[in-house]
Amino acid sequence: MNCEDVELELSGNEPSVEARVHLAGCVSCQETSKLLGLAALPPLTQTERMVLNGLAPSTQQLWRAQRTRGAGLRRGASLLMAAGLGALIASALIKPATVISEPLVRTVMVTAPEIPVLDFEEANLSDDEVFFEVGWPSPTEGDL
Amino acid sequence: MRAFSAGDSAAFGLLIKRHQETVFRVVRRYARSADEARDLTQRAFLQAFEAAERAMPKLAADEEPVPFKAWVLRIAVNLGKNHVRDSSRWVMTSVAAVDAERPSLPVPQEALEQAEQAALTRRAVLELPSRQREVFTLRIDAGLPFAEVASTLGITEGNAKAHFHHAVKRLKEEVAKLSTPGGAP
Repeated sequence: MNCEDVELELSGNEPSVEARVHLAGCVSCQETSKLLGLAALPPLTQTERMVLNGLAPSTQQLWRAQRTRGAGLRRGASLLMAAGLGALIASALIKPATVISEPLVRTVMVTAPEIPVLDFEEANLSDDEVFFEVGWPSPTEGDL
Repeated sequence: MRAFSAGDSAAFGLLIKRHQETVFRVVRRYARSADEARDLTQRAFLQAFEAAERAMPKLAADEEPVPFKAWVLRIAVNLGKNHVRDSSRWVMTSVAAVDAERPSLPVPQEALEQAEQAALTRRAVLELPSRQREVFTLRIDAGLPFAEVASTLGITEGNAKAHFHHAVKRLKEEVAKLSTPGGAP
């Protein structure tokens, strides 16, 4: 029996005679035994025992409450769905059928308006002149 | 389980009574009080019953047994783990809380040191890697045989034993680290 086997046995309730013999002469396994003892939780307290005694009925009550709530939600959801469906059908039945008429298309003859002929040849429309007149430097004569 | 599924409320109570102590022993390591442990136990059962309800038609059709104990234990371990993670006010282990319930009598120095070491070790258990901690708590707290630990976690028995061995090794290292001056958090 090696240390690993003893370790597995020590984790259970009662180690075998063979394991106990090994344990008596092995420091590493004694350390393991001590560690497992420290890591284990203490026995259940009186309070915990009382909690355990009431666990089954209280859990059953919770389960019932959960189911009732779930059934209520399901019923509510199906009622909402039924109401929605009803409203949809009712709106389809009640709403009068409206006939969509064809759009009326007419062809109209349009004559183009007369545009007056403007003579721009003699007009001086240079930007330079405009800027010169108001006293600003011309954009073409240097950086602003 | 099949009786419960058929609506037999007595079967419901019987199922809880059959497994409640094992589940409670598993979750009390993660809880800070008896009330917290009770809440976690109840949640584990409710979730297991929900899972059973969903799976029953398929299992019944295949004529497979319902692994209720494995389900409820696996759920309990997960709930415990999540409880520790979510609890920002986590300062002491359940055992410290349980110990606080005991009457305080004058204790010799040696006993105090041992209590302190125990607290360190139990804290180190909570900090084990997930799978090692699951195997360790199911073996030590729930007292399950390795074969059952393995079936609960869906691993092989050899794997469960290996995880247990690594857990013990790691615990030894951690406790040695924490016990040395300046090593404690």
